[in-house]
Amino acid sequence: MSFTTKEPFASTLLAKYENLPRGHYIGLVLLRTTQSETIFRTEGSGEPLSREVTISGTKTGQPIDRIVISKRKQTAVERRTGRELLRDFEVYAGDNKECLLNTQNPCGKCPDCYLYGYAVGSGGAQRSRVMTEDAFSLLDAAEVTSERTFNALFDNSTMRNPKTGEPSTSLGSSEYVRPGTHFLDIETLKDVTAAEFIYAMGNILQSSRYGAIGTRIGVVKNQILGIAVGKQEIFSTLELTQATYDLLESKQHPLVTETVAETAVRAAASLIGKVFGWRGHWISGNDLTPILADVAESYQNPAKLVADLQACYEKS
Amino acid sequence: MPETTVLDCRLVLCEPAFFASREIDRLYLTEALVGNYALTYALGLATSPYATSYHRPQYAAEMKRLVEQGVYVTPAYPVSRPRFKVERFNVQTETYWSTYTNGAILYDLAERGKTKPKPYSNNRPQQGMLKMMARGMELRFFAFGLAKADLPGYIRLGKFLSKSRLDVVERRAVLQPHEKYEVTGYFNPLDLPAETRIEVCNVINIHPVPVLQSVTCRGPVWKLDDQSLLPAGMKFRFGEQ
Repeated sequence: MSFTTKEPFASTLLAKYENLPRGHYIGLVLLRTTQSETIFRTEGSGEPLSREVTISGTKTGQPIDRIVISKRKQTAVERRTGRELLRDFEVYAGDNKECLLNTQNPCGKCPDCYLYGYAVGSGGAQRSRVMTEDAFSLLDAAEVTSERTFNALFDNSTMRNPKTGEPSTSLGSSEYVRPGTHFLDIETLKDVTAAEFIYAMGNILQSSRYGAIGTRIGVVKNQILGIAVGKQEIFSTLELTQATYDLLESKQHPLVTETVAETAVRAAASLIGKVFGWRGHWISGNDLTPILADVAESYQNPAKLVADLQACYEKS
Repeated sequence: MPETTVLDCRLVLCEPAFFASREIDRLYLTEALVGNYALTYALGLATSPYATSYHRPQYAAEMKRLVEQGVYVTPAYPVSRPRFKVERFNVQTETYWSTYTNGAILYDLAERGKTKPKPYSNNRPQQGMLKMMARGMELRFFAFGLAKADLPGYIRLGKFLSKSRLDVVERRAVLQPHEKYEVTGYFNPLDLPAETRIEVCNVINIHPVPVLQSVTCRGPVWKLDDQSLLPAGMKFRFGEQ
């Protein structure tokens, strides 16, 4: 955990969890690239993907449809990733085993409850210190989506029930996001400790399946493009998506991930200069490598990471 | 016959507007009207300091100049069937962790996990329902002693400073002698002159002064060019003649 003791992290990361906001922000600029067909929708099976009309760029612009990964569905996945680790190291043992997501009974004392928050349990409410935004597809929805027909066959590999001869009703079509589609995103961590910072980064980097039918499709690769460390929140994901769109030479699917990453970093670097009153640090490119290596190293000794996390909440 | 100019003002609510006309347990209700003191401040005709040490309104002192200048504003009444919007609210502290208890919010980490946290003696609303006048609702009021240019195009109303558009038409008014008539709109009973007798009315009980509705009066009256009838001699009196 060497980087956390150096500037700018040393003065930004808190030593222990504090109940009052101090406004120490860390913005993680992310590139999420779909590695398989993915489905991001909110209305249920058979409904179209979540989309939003936005202006294509900041300078050039006509309205285009963009696919949206809704903000709730990002932390939902990443929390579960983190909770697997916590459960593996007995955080949910003993009287704490009832702490389950969506059971109206959060324990209020595990790192997940503390960092990602909970509402209206018997122990009050904890505001999340991981703030997410809707992630937008870089390109027009028409470019990055397609449709598949699905059916479900009976045991005899036909659409007729072998016993009754009744036809199967499970026939339909789903819209999906094509593999290799790029979504730009920002997750903001507020007032976190060093262990929480590493845990949140690890959860993002280790989460691999987002959206519907996650056991079959939905594979997403997350990449951290830059880290903004400072006393305020940075630009929005939409601004970043639009500014990157402006700089892109080709606006046709598929795009080379490396090109998108480089372009997005350039866009972010120019946007961060325009953030009102910005006097924080922007870390990207080669400067990021040792940080990511340190995070990976922390996960080589997960027992210590979990112990460090729990130590953040010990009452002194 | 004496004549004067009366401003016929229409308020169109650009946002839902809330006044605490009535508070019943967790319900906070707005009546479909704007009291004339509230309107006077909202129009910028009177001003009050941001902070005072005496914790009570100073209407008489702050509106003294208006009385001297003969400026008067009537309460605003809805021109069509009133529409409302009901909204839930809750209040939160600044801390990351907090919990509700009876009449208070706990935020001290030392209380976390206790089955019987320390009770606090403050008694503030934590959650409730707000009934507000709906966006797009239109209200009308009259103003005496002002020119059209004295009034702004938009004003902010109520506890949440909701934006409202103001459309003003100038009307000629002619004074009619004693007559029995039905008043147009709503009135503040404190502001009527002694010679005007109220015969029939409905009372809407709000703070700080009830407002009268469907009023039949006897006394001198301004007759506007659109046939509206307003009692003559109204001014901010605060209970004095």
